[in-house]
Amino acid sequence: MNTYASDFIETVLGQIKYKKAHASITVELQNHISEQAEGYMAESMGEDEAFCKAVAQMGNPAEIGKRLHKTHKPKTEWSIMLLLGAIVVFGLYIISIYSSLYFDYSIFYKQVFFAGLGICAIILFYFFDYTKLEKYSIPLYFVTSLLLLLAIMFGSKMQGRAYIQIWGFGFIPSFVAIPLILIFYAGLVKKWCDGNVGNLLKLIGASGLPLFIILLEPSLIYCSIVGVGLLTMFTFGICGGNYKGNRRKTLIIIYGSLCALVFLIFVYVLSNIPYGTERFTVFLNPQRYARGAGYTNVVLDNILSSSKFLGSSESTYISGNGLPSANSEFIFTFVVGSLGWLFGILLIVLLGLIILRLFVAASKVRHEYGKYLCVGICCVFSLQVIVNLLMNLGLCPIFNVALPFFSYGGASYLFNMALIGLLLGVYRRKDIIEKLERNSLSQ
Amino acid sequence: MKVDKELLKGSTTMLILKLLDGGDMYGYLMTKELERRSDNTFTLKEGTLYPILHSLESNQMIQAYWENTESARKRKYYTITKGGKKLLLEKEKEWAHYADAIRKVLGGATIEHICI
Repeated sequence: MNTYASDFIETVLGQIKYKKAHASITVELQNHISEQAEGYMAESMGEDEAFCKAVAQMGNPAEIGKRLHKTHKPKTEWSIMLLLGAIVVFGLYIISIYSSLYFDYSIFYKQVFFAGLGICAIILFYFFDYTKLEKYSIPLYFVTSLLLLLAIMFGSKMQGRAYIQIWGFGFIPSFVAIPLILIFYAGLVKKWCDGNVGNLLKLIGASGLPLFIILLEPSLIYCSIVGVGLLTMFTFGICGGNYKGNRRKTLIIIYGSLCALVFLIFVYVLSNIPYGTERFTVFLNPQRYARGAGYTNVVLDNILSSSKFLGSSESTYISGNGLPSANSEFIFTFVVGSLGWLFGILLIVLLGLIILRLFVAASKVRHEYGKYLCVGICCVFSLQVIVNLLMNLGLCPIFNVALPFFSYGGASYLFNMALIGLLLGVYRRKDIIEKLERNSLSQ
Repeated sequence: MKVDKELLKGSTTMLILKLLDGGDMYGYLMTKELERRSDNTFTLKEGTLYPILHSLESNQMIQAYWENTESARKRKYYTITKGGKKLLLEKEKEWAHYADAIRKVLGGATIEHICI
């Protein structure tokens, strides 16, 4: 390249701190200068003179570089960070209320420890460059699935569910696997969602694998939550720029066959998994089972219907610690019962706002791989919140789903922090990562 | 006639969006097209186009894609998005209002008078 041009570009790049944006800017500016110079040369100007004039046309390189740097620098999503901070503090406050009400202080100290670990996790994932893994998506996806399968098959069990215990902290294996599955699945969608039928079938097969394994755990609800996440990523892939082919037809076929499949799995699970059917009949008529499996539903209903706007409910279930899992799955009911609806509404507003901001942040990511990942994360996070709140309100059968950042427990805490950290990390790099790939926008 | 650079500054975004509204283009082509359509009134320092394009892209007003050319040169084409079209419409309205106001102050009334 001509020295006038390379000097100019070097000065521009000198202002742009993040190297990942350099390659595409270099090519773009190079092309501009060369094309301009070629134009001058066609008017029988010497090469050197032509380039000199073309570069002079461009303007002040340092100023251009400074202005480009403003666009191509890390972006911080402050609203999500602030909301998350508020949620962590509020969550700890609620656990402290629980601890002092039932004289169980160790729970509070442990939760503070989990929050600390969670913040470490979020920092780790925030700075973790997820794009480095894109190349290895396929093998890593299958390795993760396989490890999850091994953990479920050979790991220990607790109440019929797979369970891993490390240094006294127990968790279900899929909590570790799900963030990884989302990361690698984003790579698969990017690679295979191109309109080729064979690739599409591969992608469908690949989606089924981890879902089936999670179902073996057995965790119907996490299988469904992740399933919706993967499906949404898949749908975005089909609607994305790489897809060539009839989008509507593909989506209709996929969604149609999926509805049939989900129905079959639903019937199978209900009839084969212990407490499967019972869970639903209990949900439909809790009073009939009030002494047995319907007990929780009756207690939830009793607490919520006797709660005040502000202050503790008169329900004996609150004063007498009669609500099962009051610090985990049913923390929302505990909040409303012990502090009043005002606090319950505050909780819903905080979680609702962060979900909204997560979706808005995801919509601003242009890089396809990152976008798929963000979409998956948004789904998995918000579905946990929605399912948990619905079951607290008696609007959905009871599942083993914690309320992110409010329920006591380290696994759910770290899991959700990792998810949000990943999303913030993708958002952070949204204007830094520029790739020189040809992706025509087929309309 | 050369116009004051400051006059151009505020409206470059609108002009870029307008150009892209007519079809996908790459940077060099845009500067030439701008010169041609304005009878060489708008000769901006060409490099300053790129910071504007990149920031519009980051805000999803336009989208970019790479296209290979015969000369094995890769060109970064830009295309306007729905959001960009909306912004263009707003900017055009704003501009029309502004131009109208200027004209009135500069004695547009007499022109109106003649028209009647």
